[in-house]
Amino acid sequence: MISVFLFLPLLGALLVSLASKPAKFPLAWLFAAATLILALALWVAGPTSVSLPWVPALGLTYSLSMGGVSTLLAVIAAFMTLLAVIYAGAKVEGGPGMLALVLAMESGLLGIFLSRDLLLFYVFFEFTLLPSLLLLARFGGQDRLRALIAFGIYTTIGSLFMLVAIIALRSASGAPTFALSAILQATAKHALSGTAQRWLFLGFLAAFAVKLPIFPLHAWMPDYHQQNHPSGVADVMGTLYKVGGYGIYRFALPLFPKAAADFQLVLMALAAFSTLYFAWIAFHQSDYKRILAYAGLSHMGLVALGLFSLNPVAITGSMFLLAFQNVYTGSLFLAVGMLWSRVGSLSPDQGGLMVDAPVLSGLTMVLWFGAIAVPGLVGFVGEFSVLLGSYQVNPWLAFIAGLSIIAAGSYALFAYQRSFWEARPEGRPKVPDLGVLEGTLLGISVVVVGLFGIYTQPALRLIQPGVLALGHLIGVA
Amino acid sequence: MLPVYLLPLLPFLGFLVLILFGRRFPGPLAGALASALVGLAFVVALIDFFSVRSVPMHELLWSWLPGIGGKGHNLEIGFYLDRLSSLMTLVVTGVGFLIHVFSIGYMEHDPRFPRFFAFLNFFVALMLILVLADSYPLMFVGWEGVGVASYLLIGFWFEGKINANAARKAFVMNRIGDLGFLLGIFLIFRQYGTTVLPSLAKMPIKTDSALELICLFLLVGAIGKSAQLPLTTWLADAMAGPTPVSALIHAATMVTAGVYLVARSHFFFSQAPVASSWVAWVGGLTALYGALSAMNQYDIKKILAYSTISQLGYMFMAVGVGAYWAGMYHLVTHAFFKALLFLAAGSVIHALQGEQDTRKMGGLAKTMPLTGAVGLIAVLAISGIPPFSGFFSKEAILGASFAYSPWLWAVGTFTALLTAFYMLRWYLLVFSGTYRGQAHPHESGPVMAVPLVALAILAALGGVIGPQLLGSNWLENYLKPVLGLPSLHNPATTELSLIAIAVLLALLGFLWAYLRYRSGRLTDLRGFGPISAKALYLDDLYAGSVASPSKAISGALERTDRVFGGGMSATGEVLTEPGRWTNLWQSGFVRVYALSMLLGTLLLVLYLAVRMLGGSL
Repeated sequence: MISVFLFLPLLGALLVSLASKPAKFPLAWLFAAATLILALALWVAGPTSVSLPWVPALGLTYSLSMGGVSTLLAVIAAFMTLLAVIYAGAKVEGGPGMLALVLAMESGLLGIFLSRDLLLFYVFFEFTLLPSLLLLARFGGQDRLRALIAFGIYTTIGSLFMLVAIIALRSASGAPTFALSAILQATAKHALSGTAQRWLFLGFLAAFAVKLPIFPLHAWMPDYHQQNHPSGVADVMGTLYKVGGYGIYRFALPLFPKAAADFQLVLMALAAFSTLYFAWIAFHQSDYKRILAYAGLSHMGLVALGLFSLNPVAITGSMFLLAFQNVYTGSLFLAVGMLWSRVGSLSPDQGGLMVDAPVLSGLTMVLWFGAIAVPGLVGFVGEFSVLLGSYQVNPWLAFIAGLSIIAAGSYALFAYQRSFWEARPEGRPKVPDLGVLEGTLLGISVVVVGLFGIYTQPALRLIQPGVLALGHLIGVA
Repeated sequence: MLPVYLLPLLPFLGFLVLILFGRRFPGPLAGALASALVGLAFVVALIDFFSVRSVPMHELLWSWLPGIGGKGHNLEIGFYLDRLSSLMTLVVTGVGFLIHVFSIGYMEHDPRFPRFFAFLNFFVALMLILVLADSYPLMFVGWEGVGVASYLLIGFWFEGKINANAARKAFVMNRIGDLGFLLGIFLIFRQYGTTVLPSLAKMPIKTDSALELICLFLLVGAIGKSAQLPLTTWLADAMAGPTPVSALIHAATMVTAGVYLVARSHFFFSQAPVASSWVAWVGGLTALYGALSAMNQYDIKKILAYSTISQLGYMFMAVGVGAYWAGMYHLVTHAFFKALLFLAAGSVIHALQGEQDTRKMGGLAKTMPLTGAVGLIAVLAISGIPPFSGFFSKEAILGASFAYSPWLWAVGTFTALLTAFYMLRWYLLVFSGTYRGQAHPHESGPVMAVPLVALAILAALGGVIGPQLLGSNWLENYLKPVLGLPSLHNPATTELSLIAIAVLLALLGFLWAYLRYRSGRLTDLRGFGPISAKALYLDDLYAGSVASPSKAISGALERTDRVFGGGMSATGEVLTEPGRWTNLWQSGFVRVYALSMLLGTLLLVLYLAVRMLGGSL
């Protein structure tokens, strides 16, 4: 079941790429919908896992597990992929060509979330890079080559460090395989030395910091989003691909608790600085994609702050934020794509769109309020918990990161005002409002953003047991 | 006894229906629906008011935030209705209902009529959540929620750039305060392990520096929401919204949330003498600041806006000196007379087709006798003339502040003199003399008249709930089970002399305004005139010292960040790129500053990392 779920989108991708042009979209959304249904079914069914030896000579196992944070992220990935597939197939010119890549990327993401073998994780981590590079290369903007190279180089070099660290970790721990459980068992018997922990931790961190991303390894990201296709379809997937926070939660913290504690202050400082720095920069952007990129980077600073503070409330908040920022950031990318399809520009300087397009304007507004953590919406739960938890560890760093809520209010409303409020300049053509399909896509996201802002139980039930177990492991329950 | 969750739920349903299906409601139907729901909420509030006199109601719905509900449990969403919150629900739904009804007339020609009522209902729902929350985080939901409502309603006529800017300014300035509120919550959790109000109220709270800090953090939040110094400038700009909004949100209810926060947290503040004195003095200085700024305004609403700032200052004085009940008392009477003042102003603006400049008014008491009469009642009430409501509540505050510090009392009493002056000036400019404009003023229909009359009755007689003179004081006794402490009282003779002084000064203020009016110098304040008109230059100060630099830094960081993309080798490029050196902030200095900030952080992080690694190598 779990393997079917994992490879269903990849199968879909194969069929879609072979199918004739008119058949691509129906096929793609069927597969995306089936994947979401499977995800929900697996969620309801509760935790499951498989573990089989695969390449014994290498120590590679086929270990997958669905449950906890993995389930939450998998469900959200399946949900956002479905939205992206439907939007791309139905509304984007040339969109059907993206569908196979989007589905392939979904399989890669699910693999990242479900893998419980370090080498397998690495394989999916790298595999996902391919479709995302292809999306950028085939559908990107004029300057895509530069963005592509930066993205590729940053990611690959980071991943290489991780690969070395993975191999070194197995030999240092003496574990028979690369399975996470095997390595954890081995290190529980013979703890790694402090020095070994620190160097291995840094190896993992190199990859995850690029993929969080966090300052100063973020430089690829604003260009990546800006150069991707303006429809926002690739950006939805790119947002989901920000898996660094998950990697730290799943691997780096349980494997190297002592190193995480040693580096805590530095990493928290870096995260807090990132949070404020990116929010501040977002104010100055004149391209919606870049605004969203920097807004997303600022959120990732908070995710990192929560994780590195090693406080249970903050870690819970981090995972909550990591999961749900996909919904509002991703949907905002789609909303920006819808705006672009109407005015042909990604600049916020439009003016007065609320008169012509109240539905687009209203839905965008709620999504923005979700993104800047207005309480009652979903963004608040994560941000509040991260800040509260990290305040318990280091009040000053929590304060610095907290300043971002002021900056976030400024950049979001400043951009919003120039697009949707104020008067529309003379002579600009009337803008059609959202159709039923587009309105439904954003509307569903808005419902998720509102509902999970006050009714958090389903998500917390998935996150909290894992955080509790992690807390016992790293000794800060 | 009805479930407490009905209170926010009813107006929230109204919001959902009207925002989703607004176009299906023709004519005034949307306004009628919204008003009816708020009216219904008032009935619920009234029924529960009688049932919570003995036992507070505490309803828990479902769990919400991880790990901060005490003993490591998740925090639940819960509503807490005790005597204090019950009083607030009556004010919010009662005054809210009247203003909803008034708006049906005021907004009748607006093309976005249903949306207006959707937002009004949204506001009432979130304000009720703020008031009824059983924990600080849930209170924060209402707290920022009313900020969102305020943003939407200030920007209701969003086509104007001024309105849009005013809305954004209100939101961002409030967020500065909100950060303070958040830090307060974080520290409360750190010190006491929970954020639930009734649990905290039962704990033994000891005076220490952490507690003082908690209270100062909460004060920052209260300052933002209640437009106290130094986060005061957004409120005058907020007058860009429709006038009923100014009456409901920016006078009667939302801006008093800061006062409510302090009163609600009395178990902290009563043990934090330093922070409390900050509350009192922030209030005293803001009262003075608001009054000075109101003296030479010409916009009929701006005068009232600065007077709101000033009156909120009085409330802060009260809760700062420990007279929590007096703060709540003035909150209630102020809701009556200030809502009345704004609705009277709205009635005038409506009659003059949008004119707001008092220099183009005058003599309206003849053509609009009802509006003139209720306006006069409100002026007498706010100026503290017995037996109108404002007299009693202001006396309660001034008496308590005299017992606390005669200096604070002196500031408050001097402000009372100024209040009488600028309020009579307001009345004389609008209603007295001869008409100076071109419109054809006329009284509006009953849908606007009835709320005016109802509020006029409340503004005139509302003081009966707590006059100190009559010995037994209903309001103080009523709130005692919640607020506990006896507040400071003066000996009877002192009290009487204080009252005599205050009333005399108020009359003197009237006389001052009237004499200047007779000699035609009402709007000529000599050298002080422009200072008052510019609200003591606070806005210009912030524009120069905060807004421009942070924008410039943002730009500089942005350029620097692009350099990171291009590799550090291009660093020199940024430094040497030809800049317009005419503007120091914009081009040269800031960029170097931003870059060095970045490099500094990087070096520090590297140093720490190397040290930690090296420690065991």
